[in-house]
Amino acid sequence: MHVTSNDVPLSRLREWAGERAAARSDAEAGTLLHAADAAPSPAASRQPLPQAGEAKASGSLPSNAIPGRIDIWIFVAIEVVIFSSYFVAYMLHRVWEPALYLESQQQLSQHFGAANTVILLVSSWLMAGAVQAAREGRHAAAQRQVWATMAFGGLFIASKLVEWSSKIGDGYTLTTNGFFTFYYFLTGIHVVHVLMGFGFLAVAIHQMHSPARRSMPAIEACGIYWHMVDFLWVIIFALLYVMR
Amino acid sequence: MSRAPRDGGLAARLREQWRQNPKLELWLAWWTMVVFYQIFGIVFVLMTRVMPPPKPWWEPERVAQWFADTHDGLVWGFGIIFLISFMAPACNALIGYSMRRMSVSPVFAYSYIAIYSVSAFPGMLLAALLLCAGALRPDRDPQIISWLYDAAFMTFVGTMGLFLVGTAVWMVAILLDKNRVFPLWFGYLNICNLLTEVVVAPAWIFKAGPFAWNGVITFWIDTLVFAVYTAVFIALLRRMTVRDDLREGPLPETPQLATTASLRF
Amino acid sequence: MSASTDARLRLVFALLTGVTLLSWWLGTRDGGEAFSPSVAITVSVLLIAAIKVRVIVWEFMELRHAPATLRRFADALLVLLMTLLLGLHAWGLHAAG
Repeated sequence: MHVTSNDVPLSRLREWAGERAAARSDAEAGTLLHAADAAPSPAASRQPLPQAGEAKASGSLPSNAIPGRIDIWIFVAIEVVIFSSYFVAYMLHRVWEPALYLESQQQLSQHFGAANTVILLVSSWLMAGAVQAAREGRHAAAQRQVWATMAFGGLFIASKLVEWSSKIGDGYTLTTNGFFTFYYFLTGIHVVHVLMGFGFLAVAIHQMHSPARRSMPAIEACGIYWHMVDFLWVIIFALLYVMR
Repeated sequence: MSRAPRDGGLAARLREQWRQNPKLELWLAWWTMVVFYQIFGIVFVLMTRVMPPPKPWWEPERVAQWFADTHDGLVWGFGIIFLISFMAPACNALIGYSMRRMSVSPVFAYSYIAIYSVSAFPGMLLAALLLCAGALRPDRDPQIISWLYDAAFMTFVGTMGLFLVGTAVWMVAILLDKNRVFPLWFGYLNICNLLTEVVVAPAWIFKAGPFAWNGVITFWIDTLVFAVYTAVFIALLRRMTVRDDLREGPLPETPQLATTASLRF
Repeated sequence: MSASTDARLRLVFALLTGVTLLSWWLGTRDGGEAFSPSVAITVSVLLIAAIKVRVIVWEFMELRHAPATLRRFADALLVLLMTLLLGLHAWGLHAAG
């Protein structure tokens, strides 16, 4: 991760030393996850650094500013479109075999589904608090909150594993019927997203850890990814567990 | 075309570019990549009828019938693929170059090139070999022909592990890069492509429905995302080549006109 | 430490958990016995999910600060998805007679 200090030939470092001021007038040189700027957009001119007096005082974004950068929102939009296609495919198959889906759905534990939702909501709440804390310059508190977010993410995965093994123990597997295929598929691909989310949370901690990094857009982008995982689960919970 | 005509017409301009364009190799690699994907599309969609794939649930007799029906397309189409398979490495080379131009360790470029060189086999060549073997031995037992058919489509649709890791390598390189070779959103787009590569695994298990090898989730959504991803990276690699100043450090946002005599007509 | 932002986040979390418990109650009211198709439950559960998604995106992801174009695009995407899901469900009921 410490590209600047360890991995780059000296010649290139020297070249940078000269070009640095021109290349990056903002204080973000050497930070992670936002090295490339988005195409020029209204938001590109905004650089809410933790030191900025206004942002520090209010603890919230100035209006008309894009949290993170536009890039992470493009990603969220594409992910939503892909997941929507999965949801529509599920709904279509459900419409074709309503009785089978209804009867199979009854074998799921509503309690597990609701508990999973609350676990992820807590994690999202913690992450939102971490982003706020980082914006206000309380970096130690922010890091603690991201660790707590990770802990709840881990709890979510643990409860998913318990739920899956109890279903498999009851004889409901991937190939039992169409409903259970969708159940394992949707929850499975969602868990893959949670695992990837740990990577994003680690980047957030890495950013908060050293004063040399601390890029607010990067930290916000990590939060946005985590909240996306949360709201995707909200829809999965409604579709798999509760709807009739 | 719309630019002011230069002396000597097309041939002379091509000759001038060939001798003087400092980015000649990059442009050759880029055009090779464009031509490769065009031919790939024509062969796999129109000639061999492998995309979209035929039905996974067919009985051996029906499978043998399919081989008889598409015999000419399979043999000629995959013949072309074997001839032009050298073009795929040009694509890997240009993507590898994009990572060498970044501020990241060369390890990224080398692992990407190694991974994608291997992935041409499960992603394209293995299916072509197996389907050719089926098409050229029509007198075999339909059971054996059917085995070739299963193996070809399972590997073609269902083996994405290599692609997944390769895409992850490129993604990390883009997100770490400080030379702004690619926009950040393209780094994230790699995640979208990577995650749809995960979902093809059920194609090994199911013979019908949305998760079979011709299913809406394992084939259609996955292929659509891959097509968009490919179109985007071809466009962005072109932009990179235009912007490239063939030096180190951050890539200029606007093309360096003095060094960018591009091969465009 | 900004108490107002903190209080706002706490309120948002309480609201989200509250509506989650509401859908949980809707889903378990009949004690897990013989599920029957229910338009009322399906529509209310999907609408609750839509509200939750909207609140998460607006408050936690802070989209409420973003320019209007982006906010409208996000709303359009959510409305489109919910229309598709509810439309398919209605079509299924219609086809079943």
